[in-house]
Amino acid sequence: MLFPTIEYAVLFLVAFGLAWATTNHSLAHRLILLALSWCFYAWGSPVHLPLLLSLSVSATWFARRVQGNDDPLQRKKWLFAGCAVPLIVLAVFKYAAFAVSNSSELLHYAGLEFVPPVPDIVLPIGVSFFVFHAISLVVDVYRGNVKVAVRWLDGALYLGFFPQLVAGPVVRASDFLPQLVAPPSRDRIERNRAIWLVLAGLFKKVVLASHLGILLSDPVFDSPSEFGGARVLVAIYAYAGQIYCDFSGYTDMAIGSALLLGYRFKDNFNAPYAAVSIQDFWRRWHISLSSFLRDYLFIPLGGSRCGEWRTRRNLLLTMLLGGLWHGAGWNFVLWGGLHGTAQIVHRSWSRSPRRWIQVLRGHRLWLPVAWLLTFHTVCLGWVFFRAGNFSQGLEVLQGLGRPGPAIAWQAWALVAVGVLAQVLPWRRWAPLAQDWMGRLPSPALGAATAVAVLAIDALGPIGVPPFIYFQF
Amino acid sequence: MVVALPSLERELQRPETHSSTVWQTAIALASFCVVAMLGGSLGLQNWAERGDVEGWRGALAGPAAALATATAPLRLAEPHQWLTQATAGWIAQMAAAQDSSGGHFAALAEAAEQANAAGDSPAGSQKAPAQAPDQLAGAAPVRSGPAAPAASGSDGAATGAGQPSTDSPAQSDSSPAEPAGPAPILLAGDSLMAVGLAPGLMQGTTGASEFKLLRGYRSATGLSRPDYFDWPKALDRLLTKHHPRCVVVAMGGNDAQGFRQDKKVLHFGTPAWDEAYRGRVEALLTISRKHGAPLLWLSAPKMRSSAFSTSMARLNRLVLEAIAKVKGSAYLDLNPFITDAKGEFAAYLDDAKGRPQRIRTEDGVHLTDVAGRRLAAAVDRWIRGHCLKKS
Repeated sequence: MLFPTIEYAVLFLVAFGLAWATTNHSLAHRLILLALSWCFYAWGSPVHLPLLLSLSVSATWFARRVQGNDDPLQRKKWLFAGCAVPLIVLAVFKYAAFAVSNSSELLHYAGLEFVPPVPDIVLPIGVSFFVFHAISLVVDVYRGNVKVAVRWLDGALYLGFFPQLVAGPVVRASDFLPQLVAPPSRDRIERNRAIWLVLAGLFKKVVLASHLGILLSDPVFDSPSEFGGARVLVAIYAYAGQIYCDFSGYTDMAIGSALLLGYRFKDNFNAPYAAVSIQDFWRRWHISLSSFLRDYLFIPLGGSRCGEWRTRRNLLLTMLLGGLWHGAGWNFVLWGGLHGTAQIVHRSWSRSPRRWIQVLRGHRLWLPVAWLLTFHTVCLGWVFFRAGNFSQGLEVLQGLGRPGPAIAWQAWALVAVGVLAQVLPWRRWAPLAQDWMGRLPSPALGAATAVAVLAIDALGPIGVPPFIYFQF
Repeated sequence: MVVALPSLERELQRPETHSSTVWQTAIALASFCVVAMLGGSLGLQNWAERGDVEGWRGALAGPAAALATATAPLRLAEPHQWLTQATAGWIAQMAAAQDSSGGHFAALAEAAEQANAAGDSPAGSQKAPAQAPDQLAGAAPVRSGPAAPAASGSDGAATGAGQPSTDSPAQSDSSPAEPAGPAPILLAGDSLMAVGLAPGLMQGTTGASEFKLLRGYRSATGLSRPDYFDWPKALDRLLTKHHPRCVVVAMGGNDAQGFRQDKKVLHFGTPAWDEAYRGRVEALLTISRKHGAPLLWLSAPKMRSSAFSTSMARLNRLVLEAIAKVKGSAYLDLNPFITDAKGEFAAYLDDAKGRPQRIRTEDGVHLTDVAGRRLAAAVDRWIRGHCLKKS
């Protein structure tokens, strides 16, 4: 089920009514949320529901084994098993076909003409996210970060809670499970913030991401050879705006939906294109994923504690695997490799003892240059992320040098709204807007929200495309 | 990779300046529902009418229509309509302004604007308030429609695989003077054409200097929703403006949905729908014939979802019936090129060297460029046989 649909609106209203009616009956409350979450997942295509169910059961089982055991060796054993099962699920459903088709390529180059059959496995929606949740559940319990007892229903609800189920944000077990122990307070709903997030998310997704994609980026990425350099550049910027609006729009709606039900997720984006270094970018982009990769991959690999070279290796490995997490394709590996390399370069640069580098970095004009460099490095990554394969990415980049007609100001304006608007001080405006919303009587607030939703719908194209992050 | 985030504990302790009670929130949501239903009543009606005749969404068509009719005198739904039209106009302007590929997109955008302005359906030019998952740009829907009879072997019956045939096109007065240079061939359709087919055909025919393929397709379109995008008008404009020698069409991925025609709601899977849809295909073919451009219709492929495949087979049958009636048009069944030895859906097929290659995108709907290239020889042959002057 997709967020900006009437189906979702109906499901959410049912969830709102039933969940708040049962806050005094914890079991009923959690059962209702779980049942509705599974309905949300199974809507339209129930074929992968058993996978979600079985992974929920196994993750909870492993977490309970770890929690109920004092023997360090036993705990470690259950931890490994608890991580291995979801990783195997991910490997089979996401990477098996990719691995088999590539291995036959490799065998061919090695002179062996053995062609294994490529399995046609349908990628379950949201598998990358609930697999991470299954890992987080076991690891957080092992690390002692989960202070409450892991109950069966809580484990299942953590993996399956519908606002974050299919496209994140990645929520930590240590953050979510305690929220299930104490029922949400009926007198402390952050209603205005939630409505603001849902409206902002809808606008970004339905209006900005759709138009940026349909009008500016899709035509060029579909056949780059037909466009001139300026148009290709606009398409690349537009895609940067599109993927931000698409994904941050989704997570805004997710956070807003959860908030209306009394549950809190952390922010997932913080004006990523305002970043002035690639490290800064990853503090602002898909924060829940980058912090997950940091805590569950980079730090266990040794982090930055084992010398410069191992730190660099760990950075590169983390970003390569982070890239591969986005999809089973070499373009995603390339994208991860580019970000990993950029982080290594930035690390060397920012720690360099050379005087001229320190003087340059201290100059007030360096900041805009650093911003430009960061933004264009990120854009270069997006080209391969979007293009599908290396040669198509190169074709897009080659198009940058092709002469072509000038670009209409409307296109630049749309790109500016999608990309640069986040540099504006939204963070100061959002509380003002919420403050204004707080002054309205409830019926007027509801009416104003409806008018805003209808306006957003009318401003968007028909047939809003699916969320980009669904495929991951 | 060092990310500093405030801990949840701190988040939870943050003073809430805007907290509300559950009742206040419920009242706001109730008010939201009432206003959204009144202000979007036409869109709601449109959305319900596109649902399956047996599904819950289709079952809401009656109540939604009643609501739209009852509230029509209040004219509450009109602002949404105005804004929708203004947006369509703006999109057309944008597309025309930023177009740099010979105006194809401009012509397409004009058609979209025209469709919106005309308001073909009795429900006006209203869009659905929130688009259903089965109407997706760039990704044709996976619909679990009512079981429809299979195409009963009619797929490819008109033409053998790789051997598309056509009658001679009727030459009309509107045929342009032969321009020098490669003959323009128009590729039209929805995302089935845009993803995989068009890029693959272009890659597979790059050596052909006698003709040039023009991009005239647009994702998320079809023949079921002329109120959103009017293909007959778009094709007419494209033919008038660019004088292509031939047209190659692939569409239908978004069409397995109900629509309104002559003030009647027609649900997908019913004989009345079939008749109306066949008529729409015929109208499109006739436009191409009027311009003297032979048209090759590429069938909808077998899909991963068997229900969706069944729906597509139904469309293919209707297209074949329409093609049998209109001279100058041909049909090419894609399935022999992209299905396995048993004729079933396959995500991978071996290339000439026996190595597996992905021929369908992960959605189980669209084709990859590799699949498009597999078809290129057959399409090339048809173009040479029907669109290029014999020397």
